[in-house]
Amino acid sequence: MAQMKKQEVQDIFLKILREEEDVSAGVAAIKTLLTVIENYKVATVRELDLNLQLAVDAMRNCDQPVTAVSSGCELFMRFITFAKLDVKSFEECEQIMLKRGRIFLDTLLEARGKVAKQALPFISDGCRILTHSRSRVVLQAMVEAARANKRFEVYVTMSCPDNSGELMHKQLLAEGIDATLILDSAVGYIMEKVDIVMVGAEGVTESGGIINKIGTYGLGIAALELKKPVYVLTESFKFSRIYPLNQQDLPNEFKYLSSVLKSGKDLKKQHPLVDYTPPAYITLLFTDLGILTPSAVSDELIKLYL
Amino acid sequence: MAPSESPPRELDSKHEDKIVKFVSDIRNGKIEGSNNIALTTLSLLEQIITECENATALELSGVVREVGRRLCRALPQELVAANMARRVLRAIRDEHRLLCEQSGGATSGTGTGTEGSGDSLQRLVLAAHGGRRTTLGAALPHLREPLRDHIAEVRAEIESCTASISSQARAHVHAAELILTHGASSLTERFLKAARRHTHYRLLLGEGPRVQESHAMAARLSAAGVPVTLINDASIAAVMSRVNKVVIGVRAVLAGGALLARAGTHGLTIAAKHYSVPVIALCPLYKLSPLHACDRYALSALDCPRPSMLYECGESSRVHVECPRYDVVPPDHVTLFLTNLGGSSPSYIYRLLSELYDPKDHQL
Amino acid sequence: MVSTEIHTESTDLVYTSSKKRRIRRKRLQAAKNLIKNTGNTNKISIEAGSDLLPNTDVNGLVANTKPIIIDLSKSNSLKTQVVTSKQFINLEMSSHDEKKSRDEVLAAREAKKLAKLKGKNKAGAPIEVKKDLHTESIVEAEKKNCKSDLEPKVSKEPSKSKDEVDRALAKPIEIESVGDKTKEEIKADRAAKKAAKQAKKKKDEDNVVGSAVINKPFSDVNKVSDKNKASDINKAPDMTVKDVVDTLKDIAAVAREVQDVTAKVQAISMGQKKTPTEESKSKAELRAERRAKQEAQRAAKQASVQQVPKIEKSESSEPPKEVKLLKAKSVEIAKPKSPSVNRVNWFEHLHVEHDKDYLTNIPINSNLHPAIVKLGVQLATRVVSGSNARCIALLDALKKMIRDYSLPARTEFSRGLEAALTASLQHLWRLRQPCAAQENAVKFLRRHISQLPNNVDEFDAKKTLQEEIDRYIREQIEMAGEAISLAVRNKISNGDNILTYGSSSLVERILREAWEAGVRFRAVIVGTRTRHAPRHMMRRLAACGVPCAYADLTALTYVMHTIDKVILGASALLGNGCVLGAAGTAQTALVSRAHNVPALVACETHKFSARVHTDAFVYNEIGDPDELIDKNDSNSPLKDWRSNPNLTPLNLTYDVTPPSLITAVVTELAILPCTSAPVVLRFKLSEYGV
Repeated sequence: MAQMKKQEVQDIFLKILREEEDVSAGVAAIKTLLTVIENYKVATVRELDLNLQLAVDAMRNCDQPVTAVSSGCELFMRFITFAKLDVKSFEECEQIMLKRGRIFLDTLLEARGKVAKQALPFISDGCRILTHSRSRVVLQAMVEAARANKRFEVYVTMSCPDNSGELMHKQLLAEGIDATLILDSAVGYIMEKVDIVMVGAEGVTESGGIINKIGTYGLGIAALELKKPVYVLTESFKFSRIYPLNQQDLPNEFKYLSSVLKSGKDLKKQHPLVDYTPPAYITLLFTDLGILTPSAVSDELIKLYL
Repeated sequence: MAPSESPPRELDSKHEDKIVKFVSDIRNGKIEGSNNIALTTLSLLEQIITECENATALELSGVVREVGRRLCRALPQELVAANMARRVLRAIRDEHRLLCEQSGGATSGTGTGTEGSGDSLQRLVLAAHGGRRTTLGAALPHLREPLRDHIAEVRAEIESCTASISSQARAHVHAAELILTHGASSLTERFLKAARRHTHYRLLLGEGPRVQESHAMAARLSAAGVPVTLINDASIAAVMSRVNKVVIGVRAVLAGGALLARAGTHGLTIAAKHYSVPVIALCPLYKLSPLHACDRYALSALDCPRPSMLYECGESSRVHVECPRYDVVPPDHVTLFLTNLGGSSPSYIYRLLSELYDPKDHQL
Repeated sequence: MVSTEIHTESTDLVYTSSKKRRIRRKRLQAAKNLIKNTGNTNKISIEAGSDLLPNTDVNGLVANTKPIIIDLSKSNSLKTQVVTSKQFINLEMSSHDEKKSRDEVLAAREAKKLAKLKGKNKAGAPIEVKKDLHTESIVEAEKKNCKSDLEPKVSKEPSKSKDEVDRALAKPIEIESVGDKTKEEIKADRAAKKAAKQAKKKKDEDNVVGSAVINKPFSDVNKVSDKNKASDINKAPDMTVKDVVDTLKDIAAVAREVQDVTAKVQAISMGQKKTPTEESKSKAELRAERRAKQEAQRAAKQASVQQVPKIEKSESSEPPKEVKLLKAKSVEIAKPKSPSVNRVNWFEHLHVEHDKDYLTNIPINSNLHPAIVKLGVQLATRVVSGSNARCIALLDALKKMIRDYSLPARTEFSRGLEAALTASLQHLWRLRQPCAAQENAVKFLRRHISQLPNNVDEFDAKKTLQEEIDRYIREQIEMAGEAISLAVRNKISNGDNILTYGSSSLVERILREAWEAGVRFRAVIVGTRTRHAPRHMMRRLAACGVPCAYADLTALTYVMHTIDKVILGASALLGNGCVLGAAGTAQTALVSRAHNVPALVACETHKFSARVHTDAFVYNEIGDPDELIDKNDSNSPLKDWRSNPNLTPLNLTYDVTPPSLITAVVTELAILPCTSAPVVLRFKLSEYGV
């Protein structure tokens, strides 16, 4: 029984992220947890529990977006602990947990496809879509629409500071989709031209709002003002139980990298990574559970947790 | 493979005949009004189920699904017929599950305490090892009886829809109020007459696209003792500031809380929103449809342009006349839905939908 | 007998009653022949006393008829027999023509007599003669008073059912044909009047005496008027509609004949009489005229007092096309409260504004120029509609009025004209409320009238005013329209879809000129079922080559998603920035705002008004409720809505669009935000004083 070290967990986590481009942080975290269960053998459930907690902690501290990691891990924990634990031996229990874990993971991997398929009818021929930063789900939805021979235009925001929008732009062009890269500040200007707004989400809050790359909130406000529908494409494991009241109320660990938090700099002068878009600005959420209105999100969460 | 993607199956010829007759009745106008169409569809499906040889859930649901598909293709505008097919499919699933649980005990994989029938986080998390769904394959010979009972319940519900909605009139219409309604709708008429029995109010009737029907409704309501003022559509925005409530009848309620209603209703609700006038939509549950308003062309139909411009007008030869039959009203324009189960806000429609239909049946 | 009092002063002759009778009979016979032999007008006219015809006036239909009348009526016997009937005068309803009323008074007397005679089978010939005389008197009356073509009809049957007058109104051709004639006659009359004044000082003739003898030719008309003498004005169901219609037709026909007659008479008499006396009024006659006038005005007041309660209480209904409705109205008078209670309460303050009753009771007031009366009818029946059109029509009519205005003695030109203007405008506004453009035009005109120097020559003043009016029309309407058209053209790009609501003349001009200038766009016209004007506008645009589509207002949200810009017209721009436009404009603005489509309002500065309305209830015009009823459907469920106390169709004319829904207002000064309306008003005040 090797003692699990934080560093090792982080290495595994980062390795997964590096090697599989297509995998989101949340899925990578869940894979990491599964690996932890597999590799770090423990004797009791409690120890397993501790291990997993440590692992989650470690992952939250390695400068990756925390939102998805935390919600995915929480769901995973809940999932595996619902296994019937009244079996005799711990090994059996562990096996059951592993199996459930793998099922859960498989379900999650299918989720993206389901979401993309649901979003397909909403991308009509000749429509112009505005998207923000890079989201794999949105990319997959658009790719599927392009393969279904729909003609549409996409405007992608550059999304500083990491310019992830450029990567999205490149990937869209590679699929033959007519994509234009625009400045973040040009969102208001371009809004009257587009028909729909499609964004991904790093987390979905209990209120039905989303936590996403910084700039989404402004996009939502502009879209509401100009009466454009905002569609959020997200997998269901990103549902989390936090309920931010405003931007300030978002936990700091979501907004800033862990290294920044640890370095003790004045947070007021730091640029946040994510912002919170309240449910009033969102028209529909496309999830693998179906097409939900923002008010249905809390319904789902209540059903699960209460 | 999802049920909706299953290949079309052959139906018995007698079933086909029934379907053809039903479709032609609706097209010829022998069956009119959503209520009648819903009841007739239900009877049709009941007949088909009764005559079906193999009474397994799988077989029955396949047949019903095929009938539903045919109806969708033949009558794309009659969302109520498709809704009834979905209701029956849901009934089959429910009955099957109940029977399975009774007979099989713990073989059902969904576990206890899961709400709803569709995917949910709960189901996701609580899914057992192995099959996550009960299949409908088990042959249960006694499915027909409980199914017929279920369908009878649905029928009773549909028949009592109008009465239950009208009985809510008292709670929503108060003395000396000015109510605005648009176009002719038999349900709205019943509602307003029921309200008249309890209280004195005044009614403004916007003509809408079907002028003769609106005028007839105005005549009937005024004969019933309601002071009716008939106005043109052009004056709706002018009088909206004085209106206390807007009550409208709908053609269908779409997923998300959007409405499908007669042309001109969207303009009315835009004005109501501007003046912050509450909009009450009367919709019996059989009008709830799981379709989305994403494709405006699929849901819209064009109407005869005669009311807009007579053919005899000289201009009619040189210009194109746009005349849609329906309008899609977004959910944020509607304040309250009055269904036969009570009132609900547009944001709760998803829940009503999930109770009525199985998500796998949204796409027949 | 009053008439005898009047006339005995001026007459030298004294006739016995038998002689009078004989003379009368002769005249009636002559008139009868005149009527019967329409072709032989010459003979008749000669019979009628051509030897007495003066021939001075070339235009002198007027001039010539008068002597005819005068001569025919020479006999005092007839005079004496014509009894002034005060009642009859009362019924005559403020006769603008003192002579005519007197004539009619006397004629009525005669008619009474004739009625008696007829009963004894004697009145065959006399009636005819009287007919002839009377038609001549009608013509004279028309010409003399330069009043509207309606006058004779109306004056002849003051107490007749309003139906008939409305029918008369409803036959514009008939009206106009008579009216056209009367205009020439009016000119002639003016000259005649002047000459008469001169002649008056020369010699007193018992000319007018004769006029008193003119009797009402139509026996049934007389009967009616007799009956009506006795009865209240408002109870006129005794006579049948048909009779009155026939009466009217006859009057018109005879008037036309008499015109021919007089023309020929004049031609004949050209060589005969050289004395320039066309007309002369004796002092006594003038006094009589004045007295009759007073009595007529008294009658008119009485009548109008009785009319007003009816007007106020009855719901605005179409001038009843059946007597049945008239009876219903009488019933309504009895219960004045009930109709308004059942009708739309919150529009009670506007109910008075729309009533067609006034249209049927146009007071036979003095000095209303026929152009004004004609315009009044056109406005009330919505023949002339649209802000610019109404303004131009008003200015045109005022121009004519000014041109024909004759200044009474010892009156300052501007004062006198102001008074005449006020009277005319009062009449017009009672028929239809003024729009902002009309109000501003009137303000402009009043300002110029008040600025005329005190001792200005009448001709110069008129010329100045007319020039000012022309300039106003040219600058404020024509050139402003051109400037606006240019400004909006810059906002329309190739490939745009432009939507417009209603039938604004300015928007039509903008679109047409933009197309002709080469901008290639598509137009979508939105109209409603009840109004035909948008469709006509669309036809005109389509004829210019503009690709058009039409949509009903219910389809607005369906088409709006393809629209790039919305251009609307306005009736007025209010001081708080709101736009007063045709009903439906606010709905269009709301829907375009909901779809983020910019909405432009094209409005010349002369339509800016200092009024402030917050919503469509503060000020509105209630249109004809029957417009809402489907005319094509004979079984319309609402065709008996009047009998149903719970049912009211409401047809609003205007609505108010708040400035937040409008993107910009395009005026000839600049493209402005809606909220800058008071700025423009201030600017106009400083620049133009209006």
